[in-house]
Amino acid sequence: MEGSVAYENDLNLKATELRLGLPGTDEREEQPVSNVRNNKRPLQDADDECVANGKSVAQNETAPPAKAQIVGWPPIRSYRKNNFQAKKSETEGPGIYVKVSMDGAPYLRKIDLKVYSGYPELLQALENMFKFTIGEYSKREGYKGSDYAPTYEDKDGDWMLVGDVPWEMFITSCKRLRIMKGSEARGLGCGV
Amino acid sequence: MNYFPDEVLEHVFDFITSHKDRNSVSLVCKSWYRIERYSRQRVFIGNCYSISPERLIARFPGLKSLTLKGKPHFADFNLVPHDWGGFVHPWIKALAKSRIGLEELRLKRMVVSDESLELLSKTFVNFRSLVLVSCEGFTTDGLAAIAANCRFLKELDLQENEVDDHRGHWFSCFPESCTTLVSLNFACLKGEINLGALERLVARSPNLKSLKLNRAVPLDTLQKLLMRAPQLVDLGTGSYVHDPSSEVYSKLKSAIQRCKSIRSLSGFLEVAPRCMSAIYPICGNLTFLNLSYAPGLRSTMLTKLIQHCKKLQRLWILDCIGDKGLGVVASTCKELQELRVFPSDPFGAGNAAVTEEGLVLISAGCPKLNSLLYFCQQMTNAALITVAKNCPNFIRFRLCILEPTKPDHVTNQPLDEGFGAIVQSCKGLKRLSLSGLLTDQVFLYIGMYAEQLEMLSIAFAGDGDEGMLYVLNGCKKLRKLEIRDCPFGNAALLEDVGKYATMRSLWMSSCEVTLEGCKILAERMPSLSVEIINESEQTEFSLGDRQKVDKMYLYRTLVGDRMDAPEFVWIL
Repeated sequence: MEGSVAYENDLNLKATELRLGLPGTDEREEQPVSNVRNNKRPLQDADDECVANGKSVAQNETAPPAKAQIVGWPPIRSYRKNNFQAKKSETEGPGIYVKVSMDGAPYLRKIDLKVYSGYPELLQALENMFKFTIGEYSKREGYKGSDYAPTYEDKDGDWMLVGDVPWEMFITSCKRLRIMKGSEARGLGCGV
Repeated sequence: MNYFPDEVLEHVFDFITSHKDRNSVSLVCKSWYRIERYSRQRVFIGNCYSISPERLIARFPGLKSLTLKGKPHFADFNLVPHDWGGFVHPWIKALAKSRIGLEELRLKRMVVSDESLELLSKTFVNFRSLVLVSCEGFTTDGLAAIAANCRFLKELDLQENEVDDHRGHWFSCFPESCTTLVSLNFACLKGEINLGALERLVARSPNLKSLKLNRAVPLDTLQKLLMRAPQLVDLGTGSYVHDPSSEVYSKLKSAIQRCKSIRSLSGFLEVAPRCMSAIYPICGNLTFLNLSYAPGLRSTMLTKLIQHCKKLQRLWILDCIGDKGLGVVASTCKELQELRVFPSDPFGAGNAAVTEEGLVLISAGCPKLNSLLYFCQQMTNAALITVAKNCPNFIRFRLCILEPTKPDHVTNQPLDEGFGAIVQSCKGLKRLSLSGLLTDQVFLYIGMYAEQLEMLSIAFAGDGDEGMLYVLNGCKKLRKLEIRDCPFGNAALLEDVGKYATMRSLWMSSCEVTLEGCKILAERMPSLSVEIINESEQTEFSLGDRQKVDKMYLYRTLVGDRMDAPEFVWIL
């Protein structure tokens, strides 16, 4: 048991651990344990086994896997658990931080996309952050009425105009933002 | 005592309302038993299999209000298979056949069918109050029957049930003549409801005090409902999302301000944080705030809100409030008696949202604290000892360290001393749930000090039989004991079999108890029902005596073994 506690500390003993498994694999995290009967006397066994010495099989027996799910644990009513599963996408979790660059600006900024509930909020925030105005969005013509166009790099590495896809899809595929200026921006706005 | 006519005694008994006291009264002598049983209107049955409906009806002909509990507590955590039992239908059938004028039915962890609800609604003309907690098996069709047929319905309270939502118009089934509603809670329903019917119902219910909406009720409807019902005392919002710059939102703000009686607030199942400021005007009156279903609220918003809630007595919150947020609670909510902190990410990577620090802050700031449910990533003995010193009034103390068998994260020691301090300091402790790394020592402390303990929940703890024995021998008032994944075996189970007749029930799963041990127990104690829940493919015949039993549930009963047990439940 002390072994797995040490894993969570800064010592990062995990990196220097001798294991039987292939490098890069972590058996503990992948095996869901439905019956933890064999975990019953963790204290005594763990005393005998030193972390650095740990054989991965023994580790499985003495320490409940950190992320594996034990049936009925933690003791939360199913009703409540189900509520969270349904809302996983809505919840905080770690933020989705992306870099934002603006052509001509001396340094980049970073924002958390999860803080915003939609495009209007995001664009407003960008306008405030970089002190500029974006213009009206239309599906046909992109952003009209300003020198700037908000773009983002998606998972495939392509530069896309902000606003075309549904918000949820956008925040999961957006890797970074770039506020394009001038002729480049106007180029994006016209249907190519 | 013998010189008073019956009516006088009956009048005196009217003042005795607690179930325990009335039970005691009935044991004094035959005439008191007789008078008590005829005058008893409210009955509580903690285990529906401990007695039969027929005997209940025979003894209490004046019964008006019945509370029944079905499945064992661990069923909440998926440890009990789906069809284990706890059916309410035989009860309703028997009551329907009798002359009982049932008015109130409260069920917890029971299986309720639409058929039962329909029978209930059609049989009892004065039926007023239906409360279902953690039940399952019914659909909105059953609710439609209740709505349509119970002409004097005062209370329909559905808490955390699994309801099959047929999206029918059950809401429209409340007749125009229904004006008696006092409490309506349908927050757990997942489907759409007829918003117009809801508005009309609220408009014609002048006595409505408690209203809890489901997710399908949008903010603009909420605004309209609050305009109709400014007398509300208890409000659960549905979806709480809107553009804060809209007219609807400003109308909502003024509607909320008129609701000066709201003392209890919950819901926010969907929430736009920027709309929360509308709530500030009523925060100062709140005694109960439940934000445990609102993961959309960040710590900063939560603390902003709570700073307005100076009179709060009960707070249910998610752990994203963080230790710092709990510090704000501690400095603001001096009247706090009950705190529940739920994990927002139960299987998460351990982004430690709350730790022992938050708990210590709370204990220091809220001396009236008597009830705690706390899910956290880590704990220390030192913290628990401090908490015990600061809050000696705990009645309920339930601590869940998310990682099983996790020791004191500073000293790497078991948490025996910490929990020991709690039981020693809190002389009135009735309910305790343990977690973290624990040896038999903690059970020694519990047996020694926890004199008032009635319910104990243990998981992944102890070294051997001694641990369980300390508890069984020491805790004289123990009623419910539930144990999972502990090294307790036959020796502990069989040491004092008579003990179980003084308790409501015992649950043991993934322990060292064998089939043979259970058989011996069942033989020695015929007044107990010993159930083996066996979900593997094996039949009872192939299960050897030496084999460890996966799940055992035993309870005292006056009516022998139940007849409705499914195949995988084997009653010894």
